[in-house]
Order: sequence, then structure tokens, then C-alpha cells
Amino acid sequence: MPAPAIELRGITKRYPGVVANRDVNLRVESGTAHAVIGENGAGKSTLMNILYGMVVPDEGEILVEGTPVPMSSPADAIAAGIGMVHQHFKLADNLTVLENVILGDEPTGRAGRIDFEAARTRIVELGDHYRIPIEPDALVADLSVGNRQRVEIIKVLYRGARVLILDEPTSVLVPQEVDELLKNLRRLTGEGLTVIFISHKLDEVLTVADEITVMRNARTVAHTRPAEITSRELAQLMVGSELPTPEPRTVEVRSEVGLRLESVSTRGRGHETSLSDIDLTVRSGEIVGIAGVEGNGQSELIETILGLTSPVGGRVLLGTEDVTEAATSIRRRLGLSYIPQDRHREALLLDATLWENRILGHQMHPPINRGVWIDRKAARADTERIVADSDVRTPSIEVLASALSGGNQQKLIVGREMAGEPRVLIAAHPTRGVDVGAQAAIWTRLSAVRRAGVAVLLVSADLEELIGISDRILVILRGRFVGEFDPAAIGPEDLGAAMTGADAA
Amino acid sequence: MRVLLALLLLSAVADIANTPDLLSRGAVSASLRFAVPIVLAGLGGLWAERCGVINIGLEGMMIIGTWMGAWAGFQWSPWVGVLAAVAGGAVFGAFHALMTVSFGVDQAVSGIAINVAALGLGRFLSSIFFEGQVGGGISQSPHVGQIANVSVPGLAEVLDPIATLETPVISDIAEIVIGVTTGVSLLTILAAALVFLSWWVLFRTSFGLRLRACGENPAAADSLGVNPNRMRYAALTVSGALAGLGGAFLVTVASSIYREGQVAGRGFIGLATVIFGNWMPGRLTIGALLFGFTDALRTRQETTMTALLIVGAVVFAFLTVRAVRARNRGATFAYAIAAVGLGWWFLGFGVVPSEFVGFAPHLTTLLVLSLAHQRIRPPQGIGVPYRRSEAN
Repeated sequence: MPAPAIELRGITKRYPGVVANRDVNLRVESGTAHAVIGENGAGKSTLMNILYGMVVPDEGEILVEGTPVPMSSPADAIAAGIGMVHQHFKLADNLTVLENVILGDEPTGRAGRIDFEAARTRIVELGDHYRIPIEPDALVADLSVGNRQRVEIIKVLYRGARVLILDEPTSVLVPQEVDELLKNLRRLTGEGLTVIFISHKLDEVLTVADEITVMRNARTVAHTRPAEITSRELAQLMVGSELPTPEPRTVEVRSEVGLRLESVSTRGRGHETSLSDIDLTVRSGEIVGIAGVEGNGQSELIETILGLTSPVGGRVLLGTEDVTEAATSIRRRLGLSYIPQDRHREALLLDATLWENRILGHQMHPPINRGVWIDRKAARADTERIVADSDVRTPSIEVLASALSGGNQQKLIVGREMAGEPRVLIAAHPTRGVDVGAQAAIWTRLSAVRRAGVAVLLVSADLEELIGISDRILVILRGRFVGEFDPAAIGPEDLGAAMTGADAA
Repeated sequence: MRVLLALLLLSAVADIANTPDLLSRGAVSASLRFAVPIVLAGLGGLWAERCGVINIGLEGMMIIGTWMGAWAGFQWSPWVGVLAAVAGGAVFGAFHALMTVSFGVDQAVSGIAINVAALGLGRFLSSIFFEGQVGGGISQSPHVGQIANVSVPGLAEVLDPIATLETPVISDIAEIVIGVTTGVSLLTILAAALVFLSWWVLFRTSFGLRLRACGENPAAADSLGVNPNRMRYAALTVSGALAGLGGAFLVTVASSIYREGQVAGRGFIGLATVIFGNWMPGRLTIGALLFGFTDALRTRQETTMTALLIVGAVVFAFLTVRAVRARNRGATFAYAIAAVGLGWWFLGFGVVPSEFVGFAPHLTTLLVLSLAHQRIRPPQGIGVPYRRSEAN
């Protein structure tokens, strides 16, 4: 039996306070697609970063085709024929595809002059060979997410990698793009390359992987093949217990309107999509899902509702109140809550304590606000309540928000936004990047909120989530609603087709 | 085409306003002299910002350049002064890198600190090295020799008859050509070469690509084996060296002495041309030349500034027409007021109030560059410190 393409033996990596990898062993055979699965925080990303030389392990060794290789930087990994496609693409937007691909490994002539012709030929050849067509002279800023991922793959192949690591490659793609990617991965292994990929999505893992390694609590806990296991069993291995599913709908939608948009249009700046003629009604006790490929007007829609962008036409109503011209603080006072999509950028101050974060957005509302003063005691007390109610796992409310895992940060945010009895909740990708446990907790909260009569607008890229908890799903494409679906009667594939406009005549 | 139009406009204005100095050879060569330090500061800013670091310390690095240039220049030769200025600037550039890259100090704070420190250092060092020397003192250096000027031989003699013909446009072109080919400092030629060289290195070589990548997305560069911290050290050292050279120019070409306050904000203006020049060396140079031109007019003869009133009125009238076509009501209104206002001022008073004269170069450059229609595209990693552990 030939030596495995990659073998990791006894890898341990400690960070102050946590062990990210504990005695991890991984064996990847040459020419196979190997999936590494596990909850967020299970240590998958750390392991992949170790393999790619971005993190140096405290213990253990890395063998490439049977020989131990010291990995202290990505350059070592590249030299050993290992390439990585990161979850958050490592691309420079203002550079062209070609420049991004050749960066760090440029074909040069005299005096360091780049031979652009040779590079272009090489990239086009690679694209043809693996049937991953890309346009060398396009600006990365103008590319779709799927195309950016192609650039990343070409970038890795350009460096002559024999082993490709893909970190959650499908999390940002729509179903059609996922199919395309999985086909490409199959083609790569067919050519004798080795693919290691991280995923949350078990159905994909089962279709495309030859072998599967499961991680839990910083260890590798199982190694198996798709034929030998079901997705339910896999999930239980990951979580170590029973699985959560979105709770089915049980409540009546009330007749009173929570949020209404009447033929709202916006004018986009630069790259932004503009909304045209958006009509939307979310009733109390209803979850309306917004599906769409990112960048089709979701952010503009949210900003318009929040009052960050003012529409050029139409009206925005909260309940019966016309808030089209109202400031965001007034809208919040009227009961508007918001779970932003990027918690680090919009929802939290990472360098502030949990109770200070609790104040954000409520600085003008009781119980936090007392005249011109902030009531610190009340803020602390209410943070304790959220931590207890929402099962936020933290040593104390005095720790910095950055010390919490993504799932716990999100639970804190959801708890905060639920405080003060909101009437309307905007939830943008509420479970993005959180582990299965926290996901279940957040879904339960959303359902509870609906039961309490809040009007919920759920913007998500996770089609399972949309179908699982929405009462209605609206599809947004290029700033317009192009379809309304009943989640009970639609599958992810149909939704995906509507999102890309594939079914539009 | 646009250049020709601008020339035609200036030529006509020179006649109408009766300010022959507007396009004289003297004005042209003075413009160059005023523009070069700003070009060099701008290039310094460009190198730093393309690599993702804002270099507010350019001003201070220029001050260091002037002092070092004078110190080495008066003892040995102006060329040694230039080398010393470049070295001094480079050291301070590297210091800025040490602060911002290695110690994680805020880029603006480090830059301001350098400006303040350079100011004090200049005075302190002057008190040690210049005081007691012939002509030297705490706020100025002894006399420094000048860098040689060169001319294209014979060209001035050939063109002079055409220039004195006083045929509109053609004579003006001859004047301009004479202005840029006679009595040009070797440092000016070096600066022009550096503009081209900067473009070539940044946009045509692998070193430049890596440097720019570190300014756009350092994490991406790092993941491909390019060390962003090392690139930032390199970029800032070059940045400081260019600013230092700009300082040397002030001491060995624009004057022949170091004087306190000599840099007079040129570092900041250079930094501004980077932004208005859309982070491109060519555009940045145009901005600097424009500033130099206005500054030269102001210094040579204040009355020439009145000609700019007409130029302004015409340009705003043109913009008004364009705004009407684009149906931009707000812009139409604003431009029309500006056009009428400037025209009325010229006809009514015929002079620019001297309070405004000093400010005219800044205002002109600001107006022209911000009105030039373009898609501003700053490097995306600008001002963001890069730490490895946060890259994932």
C-alpha cells in the first residue's frame, strides 16, 4: 500500500485557556476526497491551518507522502505541494484575477519584471485542463462568489499543489454552484489530486467524500466511509448527542401588521443594488423568509427598514406608524430589533465586556436608561438574566465579548435583541458560523418569539433554515421580489433556481 | 485633446487679463521647481499607502531631509547632501515601520509623532551643528551649494524667435518647451525618472505586485508566502527616502540653505495628491504640477492670479452646462453660482484679495482634482494593522 498523501500524527495545539487540537490523527490517502467534519470549535480549522503552515503545532508531526515535513509557514506547505482554499477567500479585490493567482509565485524576466503573457497562458491552460474556466483580466471585485472560489482553486493549482484543502467550500454558494463545485472536486481527484475539505453539510459530505473523519472537542473521534454510515449517525458523532431540527409551525398568524413596506425603491451607490418597488408585509406572529444570492438587495432592504438608507420612493411602516423619515433610534423605540449578519462588525464591541455589549442599542430604553444616565446595575442584572435564559456559556458577564465562541456571542445578541419586547425582529443570517447546538437554541428562540406575536423577517443563505422555520419565503433577485413560496411545498433546489433567476422565462 | 483645450484657454486668458507671465518660460520653470518636492512627497505617500500604511510622517521625513541635506551639503558637496537626505528620510521611514508594523502603534499617531519629533530634532541639531558656523544659527544652516542645472543645447536658440513672435498658442507652446528644457535641475530630472520608475516597479514587477497585494489584503499575501510585515518595512523605507529626497530638493535646488519651517506643509500636500491622484503615480504628478503652477504664479506676481479668476469662471461655466445636461439640479446651481461669482469678481474688482492669494494653490488643486471625474479606488487594506494571529 502506498504511503498516504498526508498523515498527521499526534497533533496538539494549545492556546491560552483552550486546547484547539488534542492528539489529532488524520490519514488521507492519495487521490481521494477526504471530508473533515465537526461542530464549530471542534478544531477543524485549526487543524487545517496547521497543515497549511499558518499555525505551528505544539506537538506531533506532519508527514507528506511518508516523509516528515516541518511546516512553519504557508511557503513550506506550498513547497510540499499543499494548497488551501480558505473559507473567507484570500483575494485582493482591486487586483485582477491574474495578479491574484500569480502573487508570490510570479513568472519574472529581467529585473523582476513580470511576464504577464506567460502567466496568462498558464492560467488559461490550467482552466481548460481542469475545466474550471476563469477570466484572467477581470477584476476580482467584479466576480461572483462562485467565480472567486474558482480563482482560489486555480491559484492553488497554479502552485502545483497535489493536495487541496478546502475550508467549508460550500457555505457561501447557492445550490447550483455547489453542484458545480462538487463536480470540479470529483474531476480533481480523478486527475490524481487529493482533496481535503471541511464541511457542516452532511449530505454533501456523503455524496462527494471517499472517506470521512469526524472531530469533536478538539479530537478526532471517528473515521469512516460514506457507505458505512447515515447522515443522522454522522451528525450524532459530531454533536455527541441527539440532533436538533427546526421546530414545525404551530401558531396562527395574527392579522395585525408588524412591518410593512409599500413600493419602496432606493438608489444604490456604486456597486450596490438598488431596490425597486418592494412591497412587503410581515404580520405579527409570522416569520417571513428572504432568500437570495448575496448582493441582490438583502443588505439594502435591511438598511432601509432600519433607517440607515432612506428610500427614494415608497413608505416604511412599523405597525401603523409611518417611519419612512424616522431616525433609527425612533424605530428602535417603536419596537424594531435587529440581529445583524456580521456580529463582529455590527452587533458587538469585541473589546468590551458582555454587560457593556448588552447596553448597545438599548442605551435610550429602560431598564438601561435612567434619564441621562446609564444604569450599570440594571445592565449587569439584565445581562445575567440573558446569560441564564439563553444558556450563554461564559465564566462571567465581566469577560470581553471576544472571549466567547461564535455561537455564544450570537446567543447573547439574540437575547439582547429580544429584551424589551420587540414588535418586529430582523434576523440576518442568525445561525451563520455557529455550531449545531447554538443553531438549535437560536431556532427555538425564533419560534418562541413568533409565538409571542413578533413579526420576524428572516434573511438567510441557509435554505434549510429558511424552509424549516419560515411561514412564507420571498425570493429577492436584483433588488426585486421575484417569487413567493410556501416552504411546505418547496425544496432547496427549486428555491436555488428561483434565486439565480434560472426559472425566469 | 484636453491638454490642447486647456492650453488654448490659458493662452486666451493671458491675453484678456493682460498677464503675459501666465505662460512664460519663467513661470513654467518656476512651476517645476515648486512641484518637484510635492511630487516626491506624493510618491513617498504612494509607496506607503499602496502597501497599506498611511504615512502622515511625510512632512517630518521631509524636514529631516532638509536638515540632513544641509548638514552634509554645506560640509562636503550638494550631492553628498542629497544622499544624506535620502538616508535620513529612509531611516525615519523604517522607524515608522518599526512603530506601526512591529509595535502596533496607530499609524496616524506614529506619523504625527514623527512630524513633531522632526521639528524639534531639526532645531536641536541645528543648535549643535549650525550655530557658530558662518551664516548658520539655530533656525538656519550655512550656505549650501546647488545641484547643477542642465539645458538641452541649442533648443532655446531655435525656439526663442517663435516664442517672441507672440502668436497665440504657438508662442506659448514654445515658451513652455523652453521652460522645461533650459536650466532644469538634475534633481528635477531624477524626480521625473522616479515617477516613471515608481510606476514600473509597482505595476510591472513581482516586487510591486507583492507590495500592492499587502496594501489590498495582507492576509491573502501572507497565505501565499509573501510576508506583509517585511513588505511594509520595505515600502516605508522607500517612502521615507523619497520624502527625504524631496527635502534635499528644497535645500539644494529651490534654495541654498536650510531654514526652519521651510517644508511648510509640502508633505501634507503630497499626501493629498496621492488621494486625489487615485493612488496612481501619473495622476499624482499632475496634481503636484498643478499645485506647483499656481504656487509659482502666486510667488512671481500676485496680479497673475487674476487670470485664474477667468479660468475658474470658464471652467465652472463648462461644468454648469454639463450639469444641466446630466439634469443634476444641485450641481447646476452650485457651478452656476461659482461661474457667475468668479466672472463678476474679475470684472468688478480685477484683483484677487491678497488674503486669498496664499490659499489659491491649495484651493485650485483641490477643485481641479476633485472635479476630475474618476472612480476613487483606495487600497483596501489601508490603515489596517496586520497581525498574523488574527488572519484566520
